[in-house]
Amino acid sequence: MIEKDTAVGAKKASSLTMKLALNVMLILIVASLIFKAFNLTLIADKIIFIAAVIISLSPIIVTTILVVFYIIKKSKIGSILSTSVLAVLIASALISYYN
Amino acid sequence: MVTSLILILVGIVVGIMGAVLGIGGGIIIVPLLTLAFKIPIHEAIATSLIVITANSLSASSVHIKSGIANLQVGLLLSLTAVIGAMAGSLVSVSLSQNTIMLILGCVQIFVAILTYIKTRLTKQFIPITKEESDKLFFAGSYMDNAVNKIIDYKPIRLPLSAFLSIFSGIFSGLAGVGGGLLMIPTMNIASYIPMKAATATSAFIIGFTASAASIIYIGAGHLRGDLVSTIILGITAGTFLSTKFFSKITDKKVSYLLIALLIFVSVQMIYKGLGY
Repeated sequence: MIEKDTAVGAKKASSLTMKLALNVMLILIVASLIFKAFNLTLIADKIIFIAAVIISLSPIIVTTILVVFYIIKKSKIGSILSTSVLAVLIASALISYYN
Repeated sequence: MVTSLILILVGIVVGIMGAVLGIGGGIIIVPLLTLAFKIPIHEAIATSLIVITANSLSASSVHIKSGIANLQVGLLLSLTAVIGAMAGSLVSVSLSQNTIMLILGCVQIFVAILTYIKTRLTKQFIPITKEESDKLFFAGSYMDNAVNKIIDYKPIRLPLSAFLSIFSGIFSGLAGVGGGLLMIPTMNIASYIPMKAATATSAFIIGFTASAASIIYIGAGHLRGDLVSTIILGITAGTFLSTKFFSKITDKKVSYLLIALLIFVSVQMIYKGLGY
């Protein structure tokens, strides 16, 4: 039953994080469109850039939460798997930064 | 204004297709932006990847909560797919527009064939008992409303699926697609994951691959905010409409429509890619 309990908790945690990221993104997109309607294009572009970065980084946030969750629940496979995914995602962000 | 309205309409169509077929929509967005709107291909790919990530977040938050998506398998396949996506996008940013158009055209034909095979597949899986499902880390369990029954299954040959996911990731990074249409048959044929679970898990994985690739495109300065915002608004509306009004459309009908669309667009992409 241990693996099952861990899986249910992990699903809830990741689903909530995804919903939160999605709502933040939608609010920012609507805000940028409002700024654009008032011809404040520069601010609108900056807001949409932030929204795009949040969307792109959301899998990193979701995986970080899963890593913490699996470590707390002492799931060996879960911890190794989620940490590896997190490492690869961070590596892609770092490659992008240094390029 | 007219362009924005057309882009919102494109988003609505992609949102409906995404909700019914479990795809990100990149295979439609990239050719449409490059062929119809004359947007440079790298900007079209960056837009597509961000839109796919948003579409994936929206779909997988629901699929994971309902238990249809297999989070553990999703994480395993994401690991290899993300490595492929990174490699693909690093190569793609240095390729010419024509080369990418040729690659995308070939990928579209390949995806059209896979989609046709997918519609012909029987929904095979290895059933297990509830006790086994509770103990096994990668086992999945979900309520199938179509048959009103809880499905407990055990995926097999996961290393093979993980290996094949690398190629899905490479396609994603190279051509700005999520790779969902490659991922779903991979999971079903190689690992015997039920089609419903494979579609939902694919929606989760494509978010990871698209995100890893999009970070590299944003870093290279290819982001077009105006395109991203309008298409995402359309997709949100499309997903809402599909759950309200299009729930009776069978995935088979949408698949045939998608195959026709893919063949039509791929011919044009290859034609342009060859420099005509």
